[in-house]
Amino acid sequence: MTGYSLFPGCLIPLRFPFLEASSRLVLNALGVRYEALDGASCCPDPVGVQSVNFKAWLYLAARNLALAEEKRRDVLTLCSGCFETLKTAREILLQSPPLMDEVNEALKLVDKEFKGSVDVVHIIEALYRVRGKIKEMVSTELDADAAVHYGCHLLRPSDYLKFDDSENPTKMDELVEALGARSVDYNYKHLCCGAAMSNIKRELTYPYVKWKLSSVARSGAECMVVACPFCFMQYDLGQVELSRKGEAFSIPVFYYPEMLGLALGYSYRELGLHMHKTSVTPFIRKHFL
Amino acid sequence: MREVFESSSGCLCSVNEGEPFLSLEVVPLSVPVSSDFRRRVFSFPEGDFLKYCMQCSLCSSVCPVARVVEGFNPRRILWEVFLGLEDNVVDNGNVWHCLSCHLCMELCPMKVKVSHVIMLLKNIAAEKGKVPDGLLEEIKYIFKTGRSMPLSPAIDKRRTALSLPPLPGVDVEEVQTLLRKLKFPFNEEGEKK
Repeated sequence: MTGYSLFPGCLIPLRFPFLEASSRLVLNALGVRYEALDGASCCPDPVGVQSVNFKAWLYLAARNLALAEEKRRDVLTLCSGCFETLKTAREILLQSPPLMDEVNEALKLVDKEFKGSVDVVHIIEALYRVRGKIKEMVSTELDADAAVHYGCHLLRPSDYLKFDDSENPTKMDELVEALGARSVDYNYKHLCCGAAMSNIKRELTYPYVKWKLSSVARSGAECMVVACPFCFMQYDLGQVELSRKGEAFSIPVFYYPEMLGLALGYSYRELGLHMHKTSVTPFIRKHFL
Repeated sequence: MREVFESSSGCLCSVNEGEPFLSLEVVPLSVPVSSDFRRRVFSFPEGDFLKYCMQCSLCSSVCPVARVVEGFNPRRILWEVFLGLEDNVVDNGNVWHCLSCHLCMELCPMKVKVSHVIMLLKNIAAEKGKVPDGLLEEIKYIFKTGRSMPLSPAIDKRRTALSLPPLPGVDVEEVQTLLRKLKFPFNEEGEKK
């Protein structure tokens, strides 16, 4: 097995393509090999689809995993939702022989089989594995305070995901510090972004965004660093929505590969940073020009 | 718990957040209970951990939804499931507010899979045709295209500007074959049955 099967999901390629661009650029720069996974569908969404029909969620996830098994490459997800779905589905199937039989009976219809032979890796984990190389390649230290936001689906349920200590994670903080930046403590560091409620009632998610941003602002951090496009949407677009309600924040929000891309010397344009809703220009002027 | 469940008064414990002691609340005998419903929840992977729930309320105190949505109380949901009060938990629409952040499941001292139980309750509500419109749209779109959202011309332009390769194809037929094996409370056009 060499390299990964890239699984960009839906939200990144179809709504935030610049997050896909930055991910590809940094993986290339670090020599992490990957190939597209042809034929894959939506992961599917661990909250929406699983809530409506657990079996539908499990069947489609198993099919995506079976596709990756045919390629004999671990799956590399860019989104924490895809990570939770594929990794959890894999673990549930391996732990439950009756469910695995049922799923494989269904997969026969599409000429596929789930064996559990490939693993699922989030891009943060893939980058963490090459953090030594990141440190080597970053020439100028980023002298900034950053507020790291892990989000939920990268960490929990930890029995299945096994990414990091779910109550005291450090991997993302270490990655931010590998760029020379300082990961600051703030009160609501582990608060959920609330994105999953957008499908039910968007306004209900605003309190989560407001609490998080207020707490980040109070900490003195100059930017936020996230690992998931849903969290990115909540804080980047969320700031615009909150400002319409009289709550003004101006905290640039970076998906970690974007910040890494900047540190590796990629330009604002190459990374598509002009496509953010909350401007990152003042931050870039201060630190990268 | 069994004694309470079978007693003629049908007592139901409830904890109001911030109160240290259990207070009792009477469930009228007219409220129907369903053993099938309980069995179904218990037979879900690791669903039987629910019997170890000691109603400590840790799930409710860490729940981010409970802070925002009035009346959302995971501890109470678990208790009602334990009592077999299917109509109470499934029909009031409250369960759809759960964010599946899994904090409750992660921190439960008795290892109850709280958020998975709530997910199963949403499945049961969906079987009865009670699905929020936003989620119905999402599933409908996955059935039609294999993806959960469309590629708009504006985003396609951005993909080109960013030198991204074209999106890999999705085998929609395979997705549809798998989904057709399952029962949904709506037809392939997404209209409720």
